Amino acid sequence: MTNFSWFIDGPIILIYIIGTLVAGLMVRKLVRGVDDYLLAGRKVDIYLGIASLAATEFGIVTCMANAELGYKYGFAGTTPGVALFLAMYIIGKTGFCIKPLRDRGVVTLPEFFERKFGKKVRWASGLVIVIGGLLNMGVFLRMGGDFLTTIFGLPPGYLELMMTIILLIVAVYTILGGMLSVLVTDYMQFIVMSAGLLFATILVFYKFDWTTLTNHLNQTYGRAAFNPFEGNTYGIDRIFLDILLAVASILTWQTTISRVLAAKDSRTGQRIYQATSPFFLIRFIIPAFLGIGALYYFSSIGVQPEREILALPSFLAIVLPTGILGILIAGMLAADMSTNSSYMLAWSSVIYNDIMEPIHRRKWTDKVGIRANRILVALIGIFLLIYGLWYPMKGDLWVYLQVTGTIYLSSMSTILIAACYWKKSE
Amino acid sequence: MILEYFWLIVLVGVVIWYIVVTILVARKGFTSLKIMLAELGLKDSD
Repeated sequence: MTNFSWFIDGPIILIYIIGTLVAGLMVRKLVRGVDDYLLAGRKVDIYLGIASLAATEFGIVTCMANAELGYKYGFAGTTPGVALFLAMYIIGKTGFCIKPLRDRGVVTLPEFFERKFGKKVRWASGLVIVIGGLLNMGVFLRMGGDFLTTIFGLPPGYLELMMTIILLIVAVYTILGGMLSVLVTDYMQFIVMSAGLLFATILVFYKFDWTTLTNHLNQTYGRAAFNPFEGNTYGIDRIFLDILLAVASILTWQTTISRVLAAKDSRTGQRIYQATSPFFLIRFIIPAFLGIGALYYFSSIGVQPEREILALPSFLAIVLPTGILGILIAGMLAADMSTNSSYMLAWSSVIYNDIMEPIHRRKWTDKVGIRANRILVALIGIFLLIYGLWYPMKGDLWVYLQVTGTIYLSSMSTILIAACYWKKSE
Repeated sequence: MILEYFWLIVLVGVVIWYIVVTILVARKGFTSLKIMLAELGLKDSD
């Protein structure tokens, strides 16, 4: 069951998609060199940085994963968001690692490592980053497809079609315009996404009221739903994991750190981090709240969603009225497109800049370099399509994202700290 | 009850912050975008 209407919500979504494509493609002619393609000529200021970073790190996959945490653990499920918020604010305030990183003017982390530890470390770290990053991103398209087929009320057979449509729209402007297109579309996507999310949150709050939702949470999970330290629902080991991962990802996650690297200077990079930090809390609190709404709604009607991960789209499709649903879907598509485009570009930049460095040795012309990057983005897109269809998602989606991210976060964060502050590393 | 109120304040607080930042980014981000594009060569970005 869904309130989605192809005649009312459909045009809202179509207008948004056409607008994004036109804006993304308009700026492609400004890309003259690899630096423009990967870092938008390092001309990002604070407001553009906030929009881009916030839009990148909030996609359908984040929303579904965090709604699932809210559905399963209540407000205790927002613990990773609290850890990320604090880590980002403190790192932004102190400039810990990110200041020396930006001051060196590198494109990627492995490039920075080479200056400290040599070429082999650069190549090896590039490989680890790409493996972890691509596996992490592998489920993005699948989750986007799942979200859309559920909210549109389509049969599961349409999943592949939805995945392909999302990929094609994103790939076209990312391949042609690189980081410049990503920044322009991120700006639009941030606004549409914010409008959609805020509408949905206020509507759910108004429709179900706070006391009803919290009483139901108390009955279902007890005090542990409000306090992650209480009971065995969330647990101290998981809180500790969240804190470590938050620090490591804020320091080294390529899509996050690339906004610091694309910033005008290190001071702007630090301010982008500080100003965006509350958004890292929002991206957990709002979806978790919607997940809590879904938990109440499905319990009250005595029906459970097909899978816990589908609780959010199933819930929104029923409780949001036609028209608002169109704005929300456009917002979620916006969130997903900005995430996919930035991630595709981030991993292609590491492959080109670090893993392929022994091949091109920085001697390729800008024209050849941009073409190589475009091919890499297209290949990553094909990988996403195949992996998304093949990998069977089990367990918490957030745990999958954490585990795949850890493939590189643990080692890279240690190397980065050593590279910045261990004098013997020179 | 204290924890429920705590989370209510957090939720309302982040929603208000989100609205303010969205308006701010929408206004100032557009100017930044135009300047960036102009610097990169799109002279007719206005």
